[in-house]
Amino acid sequence: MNAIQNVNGQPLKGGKDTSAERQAGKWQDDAPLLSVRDICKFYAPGKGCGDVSFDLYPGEVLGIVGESGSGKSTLLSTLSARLQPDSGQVIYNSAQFGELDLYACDEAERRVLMRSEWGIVHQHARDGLRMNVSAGANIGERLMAVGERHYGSIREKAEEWLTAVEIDTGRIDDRPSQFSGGMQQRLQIARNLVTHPKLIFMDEPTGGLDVSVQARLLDLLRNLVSQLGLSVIIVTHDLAVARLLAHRLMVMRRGEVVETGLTDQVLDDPQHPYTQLLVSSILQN
Amino acid sequence: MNMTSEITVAGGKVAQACEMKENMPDPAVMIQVSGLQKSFTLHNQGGVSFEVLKGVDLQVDSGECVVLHGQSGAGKSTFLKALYANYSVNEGQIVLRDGDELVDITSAQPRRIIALREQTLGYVSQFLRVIPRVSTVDVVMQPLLDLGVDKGICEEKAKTLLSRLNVPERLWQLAPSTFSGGEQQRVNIARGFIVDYPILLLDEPTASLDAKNRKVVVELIHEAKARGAAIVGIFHDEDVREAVADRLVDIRAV
Repeated sequence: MNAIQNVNGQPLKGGKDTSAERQAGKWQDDAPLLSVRDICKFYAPGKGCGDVSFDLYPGEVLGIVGESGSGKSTLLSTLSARLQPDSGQVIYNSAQFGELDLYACDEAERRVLMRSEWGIVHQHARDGLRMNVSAGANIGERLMAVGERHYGSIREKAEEWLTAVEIDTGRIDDRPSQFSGGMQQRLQIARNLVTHPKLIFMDEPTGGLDVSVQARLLDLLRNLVSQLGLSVIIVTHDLAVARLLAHRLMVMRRGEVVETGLTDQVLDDPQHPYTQLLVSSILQN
Repeated sequence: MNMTSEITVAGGKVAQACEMKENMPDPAVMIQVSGLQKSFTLHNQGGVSFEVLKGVDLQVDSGECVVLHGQSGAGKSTFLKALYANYSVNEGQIVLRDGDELVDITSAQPRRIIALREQTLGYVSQFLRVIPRVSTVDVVMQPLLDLGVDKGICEEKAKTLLSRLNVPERLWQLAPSTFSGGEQQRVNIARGFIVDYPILLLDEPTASLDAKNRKVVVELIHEAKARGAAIVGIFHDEDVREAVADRLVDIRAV
């Protein structure tokens, strides 16, 4: 039985385990998916990120919050092998390659990871999509990169994923440039998820979207993350988004991690002066 | 004592060795709090610091409902939030039973606490906090669905709870953000009772409910006790307190 379903209740193909099975093994599974040790990347003193260490476990969603310029995005780029750190180590537990030291391993292996086991959702969908090819081709490209060759099956999977992210399959041959911002963002998510990645990096995935579109996207993301058992590292400056999606938080300021912990504990009982300032600055409704 | 089956269902896992076992050997003990101290420091308001809880001890057994008692501002809510690991504590231990394992939530990993909250530890406040635009029935059944229970079963249970709590059927498919305060509160209670948590924390769930619905909540609490849940609650209404409390515990301002 495949218990993985999309938001409309139709089963998604290719799910690996049921949420019940995942549930049982969630915290007992002691091997972290990603181990980060003493990562430093500075452009200038105070600009970048320093001495960041943490473990990310399967199915865990880690939120990185902090003001603009606090080093969140730099850290994300460094973790996702897009930016070489000055020092430190990132170990990824790969299904294909075993334990992989990201900055000591082969460039080719890293590239395979990026398009199969990893996904990257950019703040601006145009950075993550190919704007001049159809929506279907955008999804299909990642499938072909992992060896899928059969046109019919690629198109079928593309349709399935368009439905999963609530895009009308009638739009499959349209280009992303003809889509609204919210649709582009959902297409980007579909493109990333089609290869069933284990780990997704997200940089302000709801930034720049209308609030009405944002709510729907958040619900979609939350459901997909929990149904597919994804591990996610999400950078956001929006604490409400962090509260909804993240299991635990890392608060950054001037390139340093000032506080970490369970999401609602950090937000409801912040300990560090900066976190207290951040939380108390939210408008109440 | 009919706890064995309950615990296996909730924990989903057989015994795992734990160094704290000797502290709480009796399988009926679900919550063991010792020497709890909690203070708040407001760094951005002159660094003023105040102590809210000091030397709090509490033991709650399976099937028992403990009601926290004390003046407004005495720290009842703070204590309940600490039991849910929503607030951190400065000193002391909070050991909760999760199946055959004992977990000190003051030092447990975030993912351990999340697993505990999904299966074992429920919390119901008077405020509903949900994603906008998600329908009432989906809001209510989400916690059970997250445990991997079949969607049909979740939906049925959600609807049963909603009708028991007198939420009109025409509202079930609508998002609760436009509902009245009382309706939202009852949706929240339904969500809190959808999973049969072995430990349940209730932070004034009946505040501002009418007598008819307060009675339903009392029934739900009785049913939870009957299946062996350990309950810690704060209730302002005297009738509810009288009806559910096995024991009152005083929380005094430090």
